[in-house]
This record gives sequence, structure tokens and C-alpha cells, in this order.
Amino acid sequence: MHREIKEYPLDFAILFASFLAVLIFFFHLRFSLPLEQRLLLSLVSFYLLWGLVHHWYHHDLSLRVLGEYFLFAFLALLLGWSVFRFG
Amino acid sequence: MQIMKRLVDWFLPTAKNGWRAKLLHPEILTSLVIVILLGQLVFHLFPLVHPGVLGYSSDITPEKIVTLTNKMRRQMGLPALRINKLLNEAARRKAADMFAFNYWAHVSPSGRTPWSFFQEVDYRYTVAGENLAKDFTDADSVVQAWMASPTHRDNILDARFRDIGVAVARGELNGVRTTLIVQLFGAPVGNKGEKVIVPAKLPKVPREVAGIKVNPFRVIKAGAILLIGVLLGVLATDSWFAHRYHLYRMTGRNAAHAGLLLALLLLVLLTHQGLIY
Repeated sequence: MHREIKEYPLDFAILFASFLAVLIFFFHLRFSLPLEQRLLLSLVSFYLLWGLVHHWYHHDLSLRVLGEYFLFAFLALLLGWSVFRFG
Repeated sequence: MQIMKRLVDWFLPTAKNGWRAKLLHPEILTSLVIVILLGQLVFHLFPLVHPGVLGYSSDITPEKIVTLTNKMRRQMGLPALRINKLLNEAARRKAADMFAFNYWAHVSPSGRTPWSFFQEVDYRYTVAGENLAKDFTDADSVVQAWMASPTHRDNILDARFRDIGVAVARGELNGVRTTLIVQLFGAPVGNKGEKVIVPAKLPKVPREVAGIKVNPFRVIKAGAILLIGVLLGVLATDSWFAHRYHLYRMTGRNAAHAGLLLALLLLVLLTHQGLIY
């Protein structure tokens, strides 16, 4: 992970900054289910978009790689959604 | 020994699994997604088969909600709200309506607004407001949650309001036992707000089912934390192996996956039981 971050510092800075922004918003908008769900959706959407653009830009985008991002995104969405729904 | 080999295959990159922990393989991740979907289905269907087993218990009282609400108002230099019997009754009817018609919203599925409950108990007002909450375990968390939301906070700190009515009702929504909190605010017209009313016929509130055994939120939260933790651990180990043995594979960035999971973990940890509306 460290090697990846060192190799693409700007890309990861953008990704982690967006994650941080979502966390800050979430902290202020907790307890409201529609807002929590929208923030989770934003987090996952940005991660997917980031993966797509990052790998396309560095010429190593493949269906397998894209599939991996989709699976992690779907997994995160499902887990987050379940917790928020019952929270 | 066989079990150990399988565990290594699942959690560590080896020649056997193509130098990528099996848990990170697309087919295993897909299976994981399917298992979670099935788990969700079970949680949806279980309350229909065994109502009252899943649920949220609480020790919230209307008095505590009013005390905390007035504490917030006093901190802002606003006068305390008076408990109004009519508003208490309107709040109680709203809660009963939500349980009877299985909804949790300001407007009922049939289009009934909160203001109809004010009219039903003959509370005539110049301005009125409604805050809703459910599934909280204590009154402090409820008021804190409302104060954290700009629109609910506006209701609590509205200088025009004079009266308050609160109902804390326990019952079942979609087969899950829960506690609903209805907080109504109003500024009365003349003295009519003080009139004692005769209770009208109300929808029957489902009786309480004793003995909640499982709190679904805690179960799901614990499960999510465990799964995220395992995946983070596997990603970290996988990255370490890749770095140590100079493995180059056509995969996504582990740091991006780990970042997403870490952010999700923090979201899950920040999520408290209870919702407001």
C-alpha cells in the first residue's frame, strides 16, 4: 500500500481528501437516514470513478480490475446500507 | 494441517492462489456480496415469522425529553416551553397512528399531515412544528441528534413556540419492536389551547411483546465491523507480501480499497442507534 501511495501521491491525495470530506459531512449529518445514505452513495461513487480514471490514466485498466472496484464498492454499499437502515 | 493450509490460502498470497489472497479474488468477493444480501433478506423476513424478537429497548420518558429540550432553549436565552395536555394527546395520537398504519414519517401514507392531529384535539395555533425520532435508547441521544440537525434544531430553538407535547410510544413497526418519540410544538391562539379534551376513538395500538432478545442494529454493526476488519487485515497482508516479494499483479490498488474500507469502518463506528425525521 505504501508503495502504491508513494508511486501515485496526487491520485491518492485526491481520493483520501474526498473520503475525509465525506467523514466530516457525516459527522455533522448523522441520525438522518436519507442524508447518511446519500453520503455513503457519494463515497462509493467517487471511489468507483477514481478507480476508473486512475487506471485509465495509467493505462492498466482491464475488466478484471474494474470488476474488483465494483465488487468492493458494492460490498461497502451493502454493509453501510445495512448498518444505517437498522441504526 | 489441512485447515491451516486452507486458511493460509484464503488469507495470504501464495503460489496456489496466484499470489493474491483468495478472499480478494472476484469470485469470493461476489460470494460475500451474495451472503450479505441473503443475510439482509433473513433480517427482513425474520420479524414477520417471529415478531417481537428483534427490537430496540429504551428508558426514554416524555418528561426527560421536555427537560432536555428546555435546557437547550435556556442555553440560548429562550423561555422554557410549557407542557400542554392537548399537544401531549396529539403526539400520543400521532404515535398510535404510525404504529397502527405501519409508517414513520411526518405525513402518513394516506396523506395525513401532523397538523391534522393538532386539529383533532382542538389545539388552535398560530405556528406549529413536529420532530420525530425512533430506535434511541436514551433521551440525551434523542435531543442531541435533533440539535445536530438544522431543521430539528430550528424547531427546538424557535422563539415563537410556547407549548410542547411529547409522546413516547412502544410498539412494533414492520415486526420490529421499537420506541417512537413524537415532539410537537405550538403557539396557541387565545386560551383555547388549555381546554381539556375528551379522547376520541383511536386506532388500536399493538400490544407490547415482552422480552426483546436481539437488537438488530448491534448485530449488524458488529458483523460489519468484523468483516471490514478482516478485509482490511487481508489487504494489508497482501500488500506487505507484494512489497516484500516484489509481486506485480494486474489488480486494483490495495490502498484505494483499504481507504474505502477504512472510511466505511469510521462511518459504521460513528453511526449511533436511533433515527430522526
